Amino acid sequence: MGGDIDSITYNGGDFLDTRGAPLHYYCMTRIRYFGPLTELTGTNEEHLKITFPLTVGELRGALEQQHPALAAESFRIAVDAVIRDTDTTLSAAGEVACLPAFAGG
Amino acid sequence: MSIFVDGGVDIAMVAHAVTELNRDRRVGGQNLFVGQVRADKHPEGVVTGIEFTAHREMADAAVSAFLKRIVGHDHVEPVGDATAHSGDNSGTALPRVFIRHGLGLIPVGASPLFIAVGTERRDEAFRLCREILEALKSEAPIYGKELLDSEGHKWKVNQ
Repeated sequence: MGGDIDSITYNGGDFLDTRGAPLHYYCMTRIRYFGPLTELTGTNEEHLKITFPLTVGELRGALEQQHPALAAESFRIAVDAVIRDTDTTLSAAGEVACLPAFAGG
Repeated sequence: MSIFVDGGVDIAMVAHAVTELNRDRRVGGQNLFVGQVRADKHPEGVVTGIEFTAHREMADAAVSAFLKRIVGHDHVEPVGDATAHSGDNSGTALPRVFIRHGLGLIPVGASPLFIAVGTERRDEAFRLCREILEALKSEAPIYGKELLDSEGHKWKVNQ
């Protein structure tokens, strides 16, 4: 971050500045909540300003800042319809889904 | 093909699947599972219905993935009324699989889930139907809000 940026390259993961350092950038990101999480957050979905890149664990932290009640909940996070591990780094996310234990059938 | 239907599973869908499988001369056994909303008694009240929601795109993708793993293909057959049938089934992959899950409010006694499997022999029909059912419960992001006669609610937890 900081300094003049002459060019930005894209390595398929992070966006990089001329020194090869990852650029941080934010996107208004669609966040969806399911099951009991809809009550804890008071919504089925919302758009939050998320700064990328970040890990799934950091994303969860950002969601907990917005909704402190999430901190006590067990749920998995799917990004663009795929459940991701906590340490996965995200350079972008079209849709984030917060999924507590499934209860179909 | 999405497994989801609005409201409960119509018994005509079950009749259609049975009829469709009856017409398939390769099939020697059908196994059906029809889930039903039960009037569970909780300390907070008695269940009067369940309101189902899902991440539909993810749930359908999960169904496709577990069918490939369990059955060997991911073709979920269409279900219409009992008079609609394809006639010649020889080009349809065996085992044949029908799955439907309801969304929205489904009252006690109505059915949120229907699975039918048609196979050559009975052992496979029993096994596949059970495995599909368990995979659906554990791998598809579907949620149920149990509505109670006390006008409260409780989130369904699979046992």
